[in-house]
Parts: sequence; structure tokens; C-alpha cells
Amino acid sequence: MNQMAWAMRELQQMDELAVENSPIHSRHPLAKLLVTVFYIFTVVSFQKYDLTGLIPMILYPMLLFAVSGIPVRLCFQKLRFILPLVCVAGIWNPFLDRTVAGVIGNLAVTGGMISFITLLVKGIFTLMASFLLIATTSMEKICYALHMLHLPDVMVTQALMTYRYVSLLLQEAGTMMNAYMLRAPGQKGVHHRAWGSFAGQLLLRSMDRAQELYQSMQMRGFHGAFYYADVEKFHTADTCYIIFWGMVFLLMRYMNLSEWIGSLFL
Amino acid sequence: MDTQLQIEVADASFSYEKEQPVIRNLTFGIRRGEAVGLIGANGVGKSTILKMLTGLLEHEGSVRMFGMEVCREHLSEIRRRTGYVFQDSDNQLFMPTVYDDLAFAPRNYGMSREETNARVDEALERTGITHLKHRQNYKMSGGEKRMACIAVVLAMQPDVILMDEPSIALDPYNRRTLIRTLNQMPETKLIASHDLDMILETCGRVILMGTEGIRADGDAEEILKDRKLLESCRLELPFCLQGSR
Repeated sequence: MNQMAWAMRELQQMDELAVENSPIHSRHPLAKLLVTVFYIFTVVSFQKYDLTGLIPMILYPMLLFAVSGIPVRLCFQKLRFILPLVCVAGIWNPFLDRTVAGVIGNLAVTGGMISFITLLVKGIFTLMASFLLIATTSMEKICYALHMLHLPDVMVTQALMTYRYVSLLLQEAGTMMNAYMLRAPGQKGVHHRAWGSFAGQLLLRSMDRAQELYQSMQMRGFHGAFYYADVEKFHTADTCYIIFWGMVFLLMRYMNLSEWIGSLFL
Repeated sequence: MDTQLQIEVADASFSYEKEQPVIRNLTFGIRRGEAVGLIGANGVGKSTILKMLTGLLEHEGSVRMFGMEVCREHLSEIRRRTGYVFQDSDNQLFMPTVYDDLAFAPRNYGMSREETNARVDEALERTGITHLKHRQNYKMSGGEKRMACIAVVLAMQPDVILMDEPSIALDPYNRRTLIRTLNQMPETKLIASHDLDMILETCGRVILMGTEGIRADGDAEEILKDRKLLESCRLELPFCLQGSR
């Protein structure tokens, strides 16, 4: 399977995860979206040296993984491409901030090290929360939630159609890669002399397919906005879901749970 | 104007490039309930004609659907009453599941959830693919996708159905299922296809296109038995008639 086909498979895997059945999957998409956004804001708001206060925030993603039945390793498989970027964002911290904050054995722990680890942890937590949202809610339902939040329909429709067109682009690229590889045995990837025509053809073919797809939508009454007639109504359980997690996040933000648990043993 | 005609084309022309018209002075009409096969060699403009009828391509001359001129003003109403089965199923199935694709049109036309679900279930039953209701589109075979495309169009409950190569890439079993389904559909049908055997089994009338326009328009069996006529248009007798040369 070439890389494009592999990327397509990963996208399809997310679509499959989103239609499974669990108490988390059955929550209203707006409730899940609001809780995720609130979680991300809460995590990001922690001070750069407040690592101990941040750690208990792992409770939310871990609980969701357990209840939704989504494997944690799947999340880290998807995140393996993004985590290096998170590392790069904070890589200079240990070099720029050398104030000693503490000592562990013979190792002097600097403020830069703590802030780097805090940044890394924040990155992991926010990415996990985003992954969980996408893995438990289809793209259509996420866009429906955005529509309920009165985001401009143009933006919401663009987001949805971009998601659909990405899979179309990957399909075309995968087909072209297969055709290329069958006629270039022993070659790794596309030769640089073929990059230009490869990219040009990919663009033209994707545009052709996108045009046909759009015509198909026009023939079925599409006029700029998607209608979501099959989304469930907002239940009491959804309201409780938002309130519960909102209170938990606020509690964790303003009360250092790690210190409190530690004080119980001292 | 004949009020029984659901499709009326009079002196219609179309060119993709200037000075090179694909369709020239085309004239024909199709009555309510007719099943018409549109046949011809590659490049004579079969798909182009279908797209002209639905306003996907702008034409010269007169093209009327349901008594309305195919122009921007009437496109919404014409498309609401016309179902179009595209040649490539992957271009027609763009939602995550079969249900979502079938519900797309009813939702866009403002139908309630109950009405939408009723139409979806009816369309699935007519095409015999109720078991695929919640199947993801990329997990279906070519034949299943083709039947899903037809169900997508039936969910709109159109008055006219246009089909572009509906039997392409189907195995014999699925092709037989398609023929059976088409014969059970009472809607007006215009089917563009190279599968002359399927056309013979599903259409009572055939329009044979040549490079210069319509070469013949009449009874399907009469035209499809005329070997000289077909060969002059780069076609052959249907396989089921080749033994009777």
C-alpha cells in the first residue's frame, strides 16, 4: 500500500471510529465540542511551571478512552507526526531558562526543563482531547455543532467540503502513485523530474472529480448549506455532561489536586 | 407544444471549444413513461446531452424539461424532478454512509425526518439493498455502489431519470439485477450506454447518435437489428442478436 493509500486508510479509520456505539458517542455533538474547547482552554491556561497542577487533567482523556472503547495506542499512532512539532516549539526553553528550580539527586532541574515538559504535556493533552472529539463525533456532526453555535454557514460548509475533498485528493494521488510505481520498479518515491507533471496532473484530475462531485450535489438540491435532519435533540444527560466536566476542569484549574493528594499522605 | 412531452430538445447545440461543436442542431422529444436508450460511439456527445438536459452545461437552442426552458430561473424545479445517475459512482456517493447519501436530497428539499426516512427505506427496498443502509461507501463493491447510486436518485422520487452508463463495470449478476430494477421503474428514463444488450432489454425506443447528430430514432429492436446502420456508427449488433446474422 503506498503512502497515499495509507493516509486514506487512516482517514477512513477515523470515520469508522466516529460511528461506533458508546455513552460518549451518543452524547450530543455540541456538548462534546463545548467540553473539548473548555478543556483545551483550561489546559493552555496553566502557568508554565505548574506541572503538578496540570498532570491531573489527564483524567478527562483517560476516562473518555475507557468509556468510549477507543484504544489509547491509536491516539499516539496518530499523534506521532505532530508530537515532534510540539517538541520543537519548546526545545529552546532548557537553554534559555537555566534558573535552578529544584534538585533531584544530583540533577539540577531548571525552570527551562519544567516549562519544556509542561509545554509537551499541554500539547499531548490538547491533542488527545481533539483526537477524542474527532474519534467519537463524525465530521458532519461536528459541523452541525458549529452551525448551532451560529458560525457562518459559509465557513462550516467550507470545513465540511474541505474534509471531503481531502479524501478525494488522496484517492487520486493514491491511484497515480500506483500507476507510477508499476512503471518505475526499484525507484523510491517519485523522481524529481516527474514532480512537476505529477503535481499538475493531480491538480487537474482532482479538480475534474471535484467538479463532477459538485454537479452531483447540485443535482440533489444543494445550494450552499448542509441540512442536518438526523442529529439527536439535546437531552438532560448532555447538559449534565457539560456541567460535570466544566466543574471538574475548574476544580483542577484552581485547586492543585496533586498537592492535595500528596498532603493526604504527609 | 405537446404537453405529454417531458423532454423537448429543439435545435440544440453545444461546444466545449469554439469552432468544434459536439452537439449540432439536435432535436428530439421524450414522452412521460418512455424508456429511451441513447447510444452511439465514444465522443458523439451522449453524456453531454444528459448534462445539457439538467443545466450542468449551457447550451444554444431550446431545451425544455417538463415544459420549462432549462435556464437559471427554472433549474431548481427541473433538478428537483430529475434524477441523474453519474457514470462514476464515486462522484455520486460523497457522504459517509449509504443512508446519508440517500437522505441528502430529501433534506435539501426541506423534508422532515420522518418523510426522509420513509423515502430512504422505499428507495432501498426498490433496489434491493436495504442491508446496505448504514454501510460506509468506501466499503462497498462496484455493483453495490451502482445500485446505491440508483437508490440515491429514487429517494428524490423524480419524474425523469437520466443514466450515464449504468451497467459499466458490473459483473453479470449485478448487471442482471440492474436490468430487473430498471424494468420495474415506471419513471421516464433516458439511458446513455454502450451496453446494447441492456438497452434492448430495458428500452422500447432508441436514439442512435452519429458524429453529425441523430442517425436514427425509433423502435429499439428495429434499430438494434440493423447491422449496417450500427456499423456505420462504429457500433455492433448486440451480442444476443449476433447469432442471427
